Amino acid sequence: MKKRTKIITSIFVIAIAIFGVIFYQTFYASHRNIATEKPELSIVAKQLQNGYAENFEKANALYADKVIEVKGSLTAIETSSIVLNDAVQVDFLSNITLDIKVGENMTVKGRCVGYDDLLELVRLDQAIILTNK
Amino acid sequence: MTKKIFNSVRILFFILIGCLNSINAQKYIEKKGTLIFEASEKLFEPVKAENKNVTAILDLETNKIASLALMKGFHFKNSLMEEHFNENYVESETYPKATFRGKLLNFNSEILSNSLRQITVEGKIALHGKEKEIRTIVTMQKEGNFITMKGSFTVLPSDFNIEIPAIVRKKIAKEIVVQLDFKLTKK
Repeated sequence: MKKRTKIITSIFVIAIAIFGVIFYQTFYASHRNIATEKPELSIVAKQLQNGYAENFEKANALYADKVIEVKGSLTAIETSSIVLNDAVQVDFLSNITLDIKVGENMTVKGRCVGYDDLLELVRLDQAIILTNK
Repeated sequence: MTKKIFNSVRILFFILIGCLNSINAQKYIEKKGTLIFEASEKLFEPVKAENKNVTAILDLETNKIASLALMKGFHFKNSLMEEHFNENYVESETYPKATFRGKLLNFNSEILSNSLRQITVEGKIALHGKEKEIRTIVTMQKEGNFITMKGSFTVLPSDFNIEIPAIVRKKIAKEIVVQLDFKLTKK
């Protein structure tokens, strides 16, 4: 009898533990880590902007919320972001420490947030620089 | 003949005015503005999100202001909450942005200085396919080539046709407090 109670208690405890883990993983899942995600596609900055400017719905379905690789030439450097070909605004999580210059070609990876039609810029966030050559 | 000359002079005059205007055009732009909204209820998990990549353009000639925030740029502490916000509440796939278009009332650029000044703003917020008129007071300050703008206002989910399911109604405040913090740079 005592053995049986022990077994039942331990099954009960294990069940609660499993339930707890599942609950935690569902409700407190960690955020996406854009830096480790593989880019779904690679595109030139100007082409990305044209896509949004010409057909918003189509571009939105193709790029929004996806991790993409964007190539372009640097047209502006800000504290924690850069602009490629006056077409794509690339936002980093931290301030830029790399030695980069306007006019350089570079490839970045980031999450496409959407299109800002006030400034006519596509926005990438949580970006990282892949190459600057 | 004189009419022709008169006409060309008139055209020249308009071109000149146009040039002067563009020299005088005083636009201030912000690309990394902050917008925070909170609808937390006591004892429940905070319902709060922050967007640090908000665009704003202020035209000191017309006193008009326009702002844009991409819905997918709002970040919650809880990733599941962020997912629900995007998929079930604001439906960011269909309505990807929130915009504000408005005007600073009783304003001219000369009243801005180093000291804080309260300015009334009136305009329309558009999100989730609905528009809502708002009027609020912001604090503005000018320092060199920068104009800062801070303020807060409240909106209701129903203003924008956003339905809160009965099951979570107790966990989400009726009124949503929105805070803004912009630092606009002269362009």
